[in-house]
Amino acid sequence: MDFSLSPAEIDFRDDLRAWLKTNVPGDYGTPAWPAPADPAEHAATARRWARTLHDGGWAAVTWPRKYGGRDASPMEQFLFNEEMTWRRTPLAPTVIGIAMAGPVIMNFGTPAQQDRFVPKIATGEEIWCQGFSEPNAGSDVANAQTSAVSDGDHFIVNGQKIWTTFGPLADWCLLLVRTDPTVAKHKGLSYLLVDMKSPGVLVRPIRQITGESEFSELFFTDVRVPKANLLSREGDGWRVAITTLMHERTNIAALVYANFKRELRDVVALTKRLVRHGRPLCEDPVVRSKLVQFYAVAETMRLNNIRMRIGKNAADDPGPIGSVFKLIWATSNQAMQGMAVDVLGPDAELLTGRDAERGEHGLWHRRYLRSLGNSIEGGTSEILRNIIAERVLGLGRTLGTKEKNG
Amino acid sequence: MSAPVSDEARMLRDSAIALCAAEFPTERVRRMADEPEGIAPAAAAALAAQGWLGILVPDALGGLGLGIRELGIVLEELGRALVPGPFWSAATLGVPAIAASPDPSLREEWLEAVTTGTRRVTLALQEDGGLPTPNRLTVAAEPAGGGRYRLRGTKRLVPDLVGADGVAVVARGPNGPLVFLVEAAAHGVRIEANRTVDALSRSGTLDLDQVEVTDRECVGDWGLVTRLLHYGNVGIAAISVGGAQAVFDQAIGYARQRTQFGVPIGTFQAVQHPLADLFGELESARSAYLYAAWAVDVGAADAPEAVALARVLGPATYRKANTTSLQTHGGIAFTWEYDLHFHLKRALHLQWLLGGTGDYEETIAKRALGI
Repeated sequence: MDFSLSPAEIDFRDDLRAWLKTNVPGDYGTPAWPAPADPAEHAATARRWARTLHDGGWAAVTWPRKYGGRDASPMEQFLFNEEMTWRRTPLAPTVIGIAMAGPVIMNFGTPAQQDRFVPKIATGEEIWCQGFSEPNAGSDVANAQTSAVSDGDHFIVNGQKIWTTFGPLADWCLLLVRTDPTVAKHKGLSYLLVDMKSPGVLVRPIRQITGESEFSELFFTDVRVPKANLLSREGDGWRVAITTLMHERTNIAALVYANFKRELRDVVALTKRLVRHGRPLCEDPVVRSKLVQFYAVAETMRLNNIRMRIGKNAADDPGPIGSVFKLIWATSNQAMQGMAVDVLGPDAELLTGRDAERGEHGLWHRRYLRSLGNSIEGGTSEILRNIIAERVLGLGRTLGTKEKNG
Repeated sequence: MSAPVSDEARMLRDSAIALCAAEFPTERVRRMADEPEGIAPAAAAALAAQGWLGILVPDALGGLGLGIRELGIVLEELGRALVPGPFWSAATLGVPAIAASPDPSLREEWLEAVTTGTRRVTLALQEDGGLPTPNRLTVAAEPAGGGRYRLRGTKRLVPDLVGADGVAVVARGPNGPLVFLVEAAAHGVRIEANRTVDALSRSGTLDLDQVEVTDRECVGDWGLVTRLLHYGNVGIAAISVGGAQAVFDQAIGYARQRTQFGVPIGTFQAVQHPLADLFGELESARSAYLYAAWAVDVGAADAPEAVALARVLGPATYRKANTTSLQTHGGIAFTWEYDLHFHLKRALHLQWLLGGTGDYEETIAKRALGI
């Protein structure tokens, strides 16, 4: 195997680095480029950043050129995520639109739907969110009960979605609904593109254990959705939903790796700064051994990404190795963030007071608490293990989930 | 980036698979535990006849002029088939040590013999206290005038020492470490065989009591040791990944076929989930190994830490694959008659070849993390 970058890949990265140098004011969250505390201002900053990316031609690198993309290969998508992460740029609110809505509308949309929706995603004019999970359809997402009942040339939508990222910002929603409650659960689903400004849509942010609100609940009460906004045919919602998640998977593989590696650097710096018994903590053999284990995770996630991406096009199936990233990352990130609060000891929990500086005012506790969601969001670790066992290892469907999948 | 599998690589893999099927079915491998060198002489000859001992020898010296990536393909398959004997130490350590000699007459005397397998050389590096650093060698090469030296001291855990015709001994010279080729039959050489828990692997203790060598037998310095460690450790990673894949495949096969409570045990989540985790760990160890092999072949700047990572993850993942496979099988795998324990013991043996995991974790801590 050859791990060297091709000349085209090196050019791609050099162009991006040059652009970042002149267009990014500094690492986000630092005095050079502060992250506003006010949520509305934070949202405005995020939208401005999305616009800047678009103007530079970096908003949707894997998309076709006619929609403002660069036809980037999976390897270039990986390099893009690395560079953005090293520069600590903010997460653009266009990410759901670019990684999921745009590709799935390009896959299944009519020409009219493509013309209507796709161009405004990359520009950041329209922000998208995703409505799949429900209070009673978490791991068993095909059990979604939000109903869409035919009424002339409209569907009337009623129900509730949960764990929606960018809910308060979103203009449009990828909504998985039940159009036929009489057939097997996977066969009764359809996929709608829903205007979030429609009457009857209510967004309520969820306060999470970190105190922050990254996710929302969505409530739909007699929401009228034109049938022109049905993606693919009625009853095909499960297939469209699975395709949506596949689009997300390759991107996530790069994002989780790069974020993990960046935070490992932070943890290493922390162990160099902390002194115990007159020596930097990084000289403690137990600490060193753990840091090396986390390095092994970061480096093998990098190499697994490259192996998955070599010689592939954006539309190709990432293959078996693509299924392991989120699982490995969730477990490892929890262990790494847990180690950080453990080595900080009592200083980690201080939010105010003159000693709070030592634990960076609760930063490490916030990261630790946030990591506990990693094994739940985007598919629980248990469900991911089921999928690997069933689809990759061919061990057959897990007892208890039999017969339900169509 | 180029395609994962070249035609040449596929041909090498196919030949290795064919050889393993012909010469090393497990019931025959088991019987080789009683052989002095851990391998039946006829099987060792068949292995040598493939020409793979010369993979790392440059074209100009009559070798195949290939890299550790190609040798790794062979070693993966040998690892998968649990092939015993000294092929690994000969191909990754002994042969390249001879090929490195600047002396044409020494190469004339040894190189063809070691690449065809009629003679065999191993590397004596470890001493008390694990993997030595250049300035902590206790085995000394004391100058005796006229380009002559006397070697004195003890080397431990020398791989495949019994039956070797020559040993490349790493010793503290007057101006830094030197590597000398010592004939096993030379005056002052004493070889003690170790039997180990792994009945299919061999090591030994080498006592050197005023053994005379000359400049002619000096095949290299610490640069050579570093290169041999790269080859040897990528080789260990390759054997480990191949072996781990074998025991993983056995566990999957057993979980599909064994029924309890009226269903295959592989449909139980409690059985599935450790195997799903192992799949991820095995692919990660494989990535580390493939990258290290590439880094060594192209001389990448991060080759030392890449090799160290492959060396840390390879045997550890092989061991984990064994314990997970053993638990998946249940009682049958706890019996001597079932073959799985030979893989487990191979994994435990590999963890301590050419130093221990801790030695290579330190390389990573220093070079990759800067601590």
